[in-house]
Amino acid sequence: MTATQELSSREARRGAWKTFQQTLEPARTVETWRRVSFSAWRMDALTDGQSSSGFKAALDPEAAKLGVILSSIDEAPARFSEVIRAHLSSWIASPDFRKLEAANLSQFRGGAFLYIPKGARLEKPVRISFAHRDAYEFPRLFAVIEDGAEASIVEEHFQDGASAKVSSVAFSHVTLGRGAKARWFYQQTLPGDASHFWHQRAEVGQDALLQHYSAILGGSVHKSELDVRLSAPGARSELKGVVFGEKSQAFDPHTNQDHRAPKTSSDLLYRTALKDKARAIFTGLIRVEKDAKGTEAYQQNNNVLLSNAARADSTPVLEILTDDVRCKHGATVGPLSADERFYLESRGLSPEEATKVLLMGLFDHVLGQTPVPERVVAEIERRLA
Amino acid sequence: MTTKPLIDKDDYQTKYGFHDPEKYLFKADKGLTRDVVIDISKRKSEPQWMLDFRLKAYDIYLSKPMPTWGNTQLLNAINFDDIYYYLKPSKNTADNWDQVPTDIKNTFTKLGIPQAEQKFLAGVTAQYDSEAVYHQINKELEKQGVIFLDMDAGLREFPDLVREYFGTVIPAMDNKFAALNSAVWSGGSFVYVPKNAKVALPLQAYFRINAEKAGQFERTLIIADEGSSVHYIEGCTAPTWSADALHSAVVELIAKKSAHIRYTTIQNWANNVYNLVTKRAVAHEDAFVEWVDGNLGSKITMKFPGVVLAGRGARAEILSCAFAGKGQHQDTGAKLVFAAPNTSGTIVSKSISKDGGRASYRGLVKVYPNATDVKVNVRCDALLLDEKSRSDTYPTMEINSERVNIGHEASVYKIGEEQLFYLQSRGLSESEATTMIVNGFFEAFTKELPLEYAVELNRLIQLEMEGAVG
Amino acid sequence: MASLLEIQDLHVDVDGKPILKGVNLRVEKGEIHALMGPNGSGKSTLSNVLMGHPKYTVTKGRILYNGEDITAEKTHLRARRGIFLAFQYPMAIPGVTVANFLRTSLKAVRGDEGAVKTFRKTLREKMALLEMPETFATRYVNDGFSGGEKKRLETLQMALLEPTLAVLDETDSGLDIDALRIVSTGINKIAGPNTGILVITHYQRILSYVKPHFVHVLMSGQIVHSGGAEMAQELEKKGYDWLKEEEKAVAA
Repeated sequence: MTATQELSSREARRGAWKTFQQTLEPARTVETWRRVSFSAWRMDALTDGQSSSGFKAALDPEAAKLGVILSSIDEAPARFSEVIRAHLSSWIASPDFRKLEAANLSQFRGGAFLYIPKGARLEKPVRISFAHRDAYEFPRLFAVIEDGAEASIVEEHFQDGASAKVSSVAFSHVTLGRGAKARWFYQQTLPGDASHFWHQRAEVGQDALLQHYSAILGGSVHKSELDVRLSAPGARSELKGVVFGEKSQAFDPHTNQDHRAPKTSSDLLYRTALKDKARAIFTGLIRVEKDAKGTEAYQQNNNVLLSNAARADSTPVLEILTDDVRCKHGATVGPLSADERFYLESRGLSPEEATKVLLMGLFDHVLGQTPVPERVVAEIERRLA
Repeated sequence: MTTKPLIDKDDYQTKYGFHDPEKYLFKADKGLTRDVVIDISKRKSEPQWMLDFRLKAYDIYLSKPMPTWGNTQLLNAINFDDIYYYLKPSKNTADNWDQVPTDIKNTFTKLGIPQAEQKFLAGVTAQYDSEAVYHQINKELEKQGVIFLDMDAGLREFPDLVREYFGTVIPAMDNKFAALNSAVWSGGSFVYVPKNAKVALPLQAYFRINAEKAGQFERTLIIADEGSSVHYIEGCTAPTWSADALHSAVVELIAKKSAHIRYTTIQNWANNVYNLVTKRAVAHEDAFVEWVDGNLGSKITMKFPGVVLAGRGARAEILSCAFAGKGQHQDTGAKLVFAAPNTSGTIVSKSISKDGGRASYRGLVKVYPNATDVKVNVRCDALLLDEKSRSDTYPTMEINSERVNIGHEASVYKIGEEQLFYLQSRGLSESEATTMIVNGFFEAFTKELPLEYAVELNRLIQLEMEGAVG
Repeated sequence: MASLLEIQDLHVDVDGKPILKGVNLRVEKGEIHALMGPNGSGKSTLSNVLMGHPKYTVTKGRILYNGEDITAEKTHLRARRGIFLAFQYPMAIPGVTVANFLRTSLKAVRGDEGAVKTFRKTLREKMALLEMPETFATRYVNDGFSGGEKKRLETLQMALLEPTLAVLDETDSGLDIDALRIVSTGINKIAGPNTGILVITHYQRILSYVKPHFVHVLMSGQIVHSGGAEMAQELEKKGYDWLKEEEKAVAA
């Protein structure tokens, strides 16, 4: 039995399950869990042995020729067993998420392992689709992008004919080696009754660049943690996101631009549009450690409220421990531009058509990327019809 | 071409770092008990309702836990049993300068506090360790019907008026320190401006903590009736002591329809003072409230002036500046709560951190659903002067209304090399250039102050930059 | 007698990259020198190094001022010696008014209380000369200034501080005819038997107003050609490429 198989063995899962049972649910007073209710994920009703559907992926033959590996975590080639063992045994999340992480570690089936070797330049994007079907889903993803590699990866979460409400808890870990360039697309188009938790940690290495695009549309409750660590000099990241809510959806996205090394940079732009009674609470942290001299970090969060019952909260936070920095953040809440709307309507567009055009323009920083996120665009258009 | 120091460091130490030998008429025992609260009330001959208010607040104070946010390390180091909660330095409030005890007169002379008749500003109340020692109302104010008394006298002479408003903006339940203040408050100002009266000259007050381990719990209540306007200035100073001094004040402002209140504070507590203040205003229809808040000194300051915009058309402006030097934590900010339509507010916060000091901005902008057509602008700038210093920004926006225009912007940076070079190329040394840039950074704030305050603030900043204070 | 300014075999690096590769130049009191050159030749580097900008490293050579070695001297001390640099891109200093800035600088550089006492009067006179409205003095230094306003403020500072060596870094760039005339008037007013002026420019235009005694050409970090005033016109006609050809011919 290879190390990976060993780890996925019943022993390891039992250990994680024990931790899950022993860990208390976080209290409502804990800052991280003040905004959406932990009970939405129904962890109290989780029993051992519930399955996760795994993921669908097909690797482009060109990519395979370059040495790219896309397999389940269990079936990863033996030569990766050490690195996978390390991945599975390191707790990536904070204590507030320990219970969810233990649930995921004990219950995940298959998982996705992506390996892009040194210097490989992929023409086509790699698609990793998590089709949610069962009452509980535990996607787990581990991606290693080696030095000098370049790739686009699409991580999709959508529903595939489930009979009941789905509670999903996803953990993913991505590392970028020296000089690597990765474009990562996270697209969440689950139905309006799902509970979705997604935690990704990205480690950006020396002179590497991570361009991250999030499209968050689904779930009755969505909570995400995007933790980007710029841990070596010259590491850069661009984080772009769109959130579109309707009905009574609640979104709690948290991002962390974590600067730990000198001459790193990050630039975040997240935009939210909410109609009906939807609610979004954006919290973004820029933290610059003492050693991170020469850091440049920016954060912008724009919120558009399309109804009076919608609610947007925004808390951009700066924690700066060194003086040699340039940091800025901004947040706005307001309607779509009246001048722009007037211009469109004066050219014959109805108010609804104008809203659609303006919103698509607002979201262009994510939707305008290739590969075009078709599911996302279709869902937004449906909501604006 | 010699460089003469622009300010005399020794002068400051004499000016602000001294203390009078303690001459008190009465000093309560250390520590806080129910009996101390009752005693305070009895000595002031307060009406029963105020004693009840104090006792209820005392119970709330005991039941509330210490806050779990902010600099909990420093907060939890406060030893509440080791503090005097009440000191009364003289028999009665003096009505003219001559009646003030000599010691105290000397204190104020040393501090350069103006004697009202000759000076530009009207009506000075001076607080000396929990009791207003001297106060004088300008004849003009009396004619206008303006009431400007220390809080004790206000309660004595206008009990019904006080009762109507006291604790309505900041109830004892609000937070642990508001509850503490509500139980042991002493001194502070009571101001009532009648309808349409416009007070031309600023009302000012000084505070001073003198005795070792004395706590300052002044309570200020300002009511501006419809159409009136008033500017109140609070300036603080304290001698440098080794034991900790606690300052926990409550300031309540009520601006009625179309009234205007501006409240200015220049605070410069010594580096051992814990300064925890709750300040809030309610602005009614078409009223305008301004908080101008300058924070230097103290070991830790936690102060978040707030305005509740409760009436249509109300406006608020909060201008805050903080300088965190060595060993200091300025945890300041602002709160704007919009509960009515067609309201607007701006927050401008400027902070500087030096020598490992820490400046935090904590802000809240909350808009309720019925508050439509709201416009808010928040701007926070933080300047870090060296690599040891720290800046945090925690602004929160909770927006529950559609027709709003909310903008928030914050920047953190250090002094640009190019800026320094430019000024040095014009003959300024590096420290002169830095000081000039720092003063320029605070300019948005200092230009809102009356001249002598602006001058004093610039001098204090100069001393902070030179490391003379600390 | 020592020269006002003497630059000896100056080699300067920026971020480890050599920019000036052995510059030699002498400016005497009462002389106006023009330094021309294509973009990237090192003109701004030279002016910044003369003022002691921390970003630049002198790897070889010296700068002497009235015979004294100032190569390692701090910037503000150089200013107090009477060296003035008019910047190409002057910095904004928000919150600091022009009047406040000028008064402080005057006191630092000139030192004597007399000049400071008559400051207001002097300022008004000089501002009038430079056709600047009085409201200028209450604006924040370079904050929201147009290009022309920035250059006029530089000229105003120079007029007030009365330097013995004025280095003008592309002061004419971005100016229209009127602004150019005003700025040149300012420069000519401080020119005199006790002052040296070094005009750094890409174009010949300003040199019609401020007539140089000597013209030097800086190329690839070295002065490749020095001549009289008529050289400026030659360059205008033939362009820098003419000189590049000449340089190649010399090197061959």
